[in-house]
Amino acid sequence: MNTRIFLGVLLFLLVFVVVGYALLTEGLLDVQAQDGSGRMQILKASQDAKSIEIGAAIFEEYCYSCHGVKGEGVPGKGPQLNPYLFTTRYPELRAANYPNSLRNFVKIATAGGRPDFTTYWADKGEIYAAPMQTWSAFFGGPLRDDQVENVTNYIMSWEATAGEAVVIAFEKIGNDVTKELPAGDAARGKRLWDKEENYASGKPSPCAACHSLNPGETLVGPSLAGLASRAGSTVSGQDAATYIRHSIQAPSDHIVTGGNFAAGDNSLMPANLGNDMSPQDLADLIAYLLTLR
Amino acid sequence: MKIEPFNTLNEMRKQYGLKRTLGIKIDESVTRLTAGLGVNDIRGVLRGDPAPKPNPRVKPHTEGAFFHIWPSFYHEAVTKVFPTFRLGLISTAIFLIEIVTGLFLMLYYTPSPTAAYSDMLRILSNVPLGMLTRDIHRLAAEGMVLAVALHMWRTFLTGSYKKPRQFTYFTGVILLVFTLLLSFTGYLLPWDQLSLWAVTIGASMADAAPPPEVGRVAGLLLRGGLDLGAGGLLRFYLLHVFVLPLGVIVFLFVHYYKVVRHGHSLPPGLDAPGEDSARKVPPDRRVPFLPDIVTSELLWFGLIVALLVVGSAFFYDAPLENQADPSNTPLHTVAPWYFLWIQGMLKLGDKSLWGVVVPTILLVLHFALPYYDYNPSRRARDRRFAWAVSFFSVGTIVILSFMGSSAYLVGGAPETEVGFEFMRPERLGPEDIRNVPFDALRPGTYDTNALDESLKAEARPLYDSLDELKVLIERYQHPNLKKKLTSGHAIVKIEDWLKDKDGDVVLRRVSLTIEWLNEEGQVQSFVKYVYVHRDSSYPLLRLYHES
Repeated sequence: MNTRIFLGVLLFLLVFVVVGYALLTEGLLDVQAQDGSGRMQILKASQDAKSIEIGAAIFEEYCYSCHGVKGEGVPGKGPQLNPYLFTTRYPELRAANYPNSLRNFVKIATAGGRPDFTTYWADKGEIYAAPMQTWSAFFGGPLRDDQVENVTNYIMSWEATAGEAVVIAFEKIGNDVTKELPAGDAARGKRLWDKEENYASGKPSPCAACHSLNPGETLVGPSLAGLASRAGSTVSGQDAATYIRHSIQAPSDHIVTGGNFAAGDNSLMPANLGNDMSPQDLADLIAYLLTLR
Repeated sequence: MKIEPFNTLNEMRKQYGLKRTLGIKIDESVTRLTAGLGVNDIRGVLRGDPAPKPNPRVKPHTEGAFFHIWPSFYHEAVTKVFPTFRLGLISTAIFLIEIVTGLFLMLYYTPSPTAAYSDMLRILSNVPLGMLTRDIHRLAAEGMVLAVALHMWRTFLTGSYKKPRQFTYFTGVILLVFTLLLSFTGYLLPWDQLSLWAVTIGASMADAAPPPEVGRVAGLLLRGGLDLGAGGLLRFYLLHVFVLPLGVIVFLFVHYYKVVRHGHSLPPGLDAPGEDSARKVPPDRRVPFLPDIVTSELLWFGLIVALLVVGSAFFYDAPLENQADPSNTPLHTVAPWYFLWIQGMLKLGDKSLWGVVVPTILLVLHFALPYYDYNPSRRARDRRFAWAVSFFSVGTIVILSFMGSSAYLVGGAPETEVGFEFMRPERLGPEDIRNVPFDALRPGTYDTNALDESLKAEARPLYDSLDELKVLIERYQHPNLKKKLTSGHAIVKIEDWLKDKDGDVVLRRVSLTIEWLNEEGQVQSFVKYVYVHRDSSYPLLRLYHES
């Protein structure tokens, strides 16, 4: 009997000490709250970090093709988010008395999309093939609330380095279809296509977002499978390389029929793709496309 | 006779004085509350005095509401660890702990798919002792399944289900079923990938109930829809916090009270076969409930609490994976471990037969066991067949459980398997790249066919991980395999992805490309990627202990 009481008290003390230890390391003390050393603070940081990891993967799956690998934007597909959103767009909105926080702005746009083609880069001549769709499942999109939250957290994590926008100086080919091109390297062209290498502007090639290499598969534009075989005979007077070059730099010159590829007289394909390419980029890309027989 | 109590009290005060009157009144109240024990009796119990005659310590058993489900004395032979192993007591103790910890968790939990998971995160990172409470609740739940199952096995081995305790056994099987269901319904509540898919497997058994029309309705009733969603979560929640605990409490009382009626079954050797002397305990072998048994049981209870608290604080963390994603089935989904044997049987053939019909027959056989086992003896040497069946059953369950695990007969495409081992979407495996500390994830492109020895010196954990990846791929090059990664190798590319304000890298992207030759000798490739954040600290377990 006495042993039992003694052991019982010992056990009680043990539980008391362990729970007390747990409570003291939970993070309720001011010191822990400040330096983030409590268990709850560490776990919160870990949850936030995990949210960014998941958000990054969602961005790569859904957002990347229009907004660029790291949010730098894709000509004709979607505007730059990083850093333009942080350095210019949101400050402008605030100046115009937009009442919401930056985070809410990102979240609202992600969840609800955009109603029209309105672009905040109209002054730079940016137009897009389609307005941003709604992404939240609540509005009929594919993402659950927590996924919208995660991708918002990821986009917001760019803010820390948004001041460091780097402008790369390079000779751009633009819409000039007459300029002499250097000799093309098909292997580098493939790397550009695969986004393993970037254009001289530092942006990745957006081609694969709309053009499939599988025969007959239409993403937005027509499949490029077998392009090299038919390019020479599509427009009279243009050889294969010239035809491909015109298609990239001046897509509305000839619009492929047999699909929904035009809006009025204009091709859905952006007209400003050349702005990100150097003559070498264009030559390499054409050289690669000429291998697609 | 006076009816007004104030007068009586006043008269008492006049007669005995205030102090003594208060003493008498307190004693009366205590006696009423304990159903028979006065202040001095309780003092005697606590002091360990021998019981006076007549013994007031049996009164709570005969007159009280709660104590009457305990016998007023136990046979000395059943107060030792053997033969009961205290498993019934342990089960009850854990059930009480589950009620208390469960109530605390309920304060912070909303049974809705949109809120449940974020509530779980909040319990872990924003509720003081929330993680400890959850760990105890989860650990105790696993322990309860184990304790109840072992309790039943022990009952079988000592033949304690035999006459006159058939119905006690019957209620015991009910309690076992309720325990399994409690654990299973609770499994869904965190609403993470682990819980959703494990429970999806389990709940799909309802669909397999024959005939198909019944199965369809049963599945709909259980899940509240075609898939587990808001309706299913709410149903599981109500079963978990209300219906099943209520059922356990009701049958626990019946189960306990049957012990008062029939006495504890004595060790099989004490009685002649077919006889039961549990109700005729000789006075010298009686151990009074008050105080001996009560203190002993309280000590056991304290021991269980201490084990759970220490275990949860230092050795165990309840798993929590990513939020449930109904559109994304993880590779290698398995049922909770206590239902793995059913999953194993499913691999034998027809879902209705092995998933529903056979388990139902086994359950009915269990319920009916005391009614068809006509062997009167409880001694092991007279029950060789029963013991053989018992060990055979347990062995079969172990083997079936192994067959139910992902190690048995579920191999996806080899490249998917390698990708899974190297970058698990949820909890980490031993070969996972995320075991590599963030600092050791040096940016670069690494080919497992050409691992640079200099990496070994500079970033050992990364080198080891890539080396394990290489071994993993080589495992799928065995010539006897049907699907293999002929001359396969992997290219792992690590990129710095994001920096924080101070310019430190906080996010890295790791991509895995596996290349191999197919039967026609063409190069095939498989690509997978994962983002790793500096602060995400895989695995959770390590994190908690470092804090």
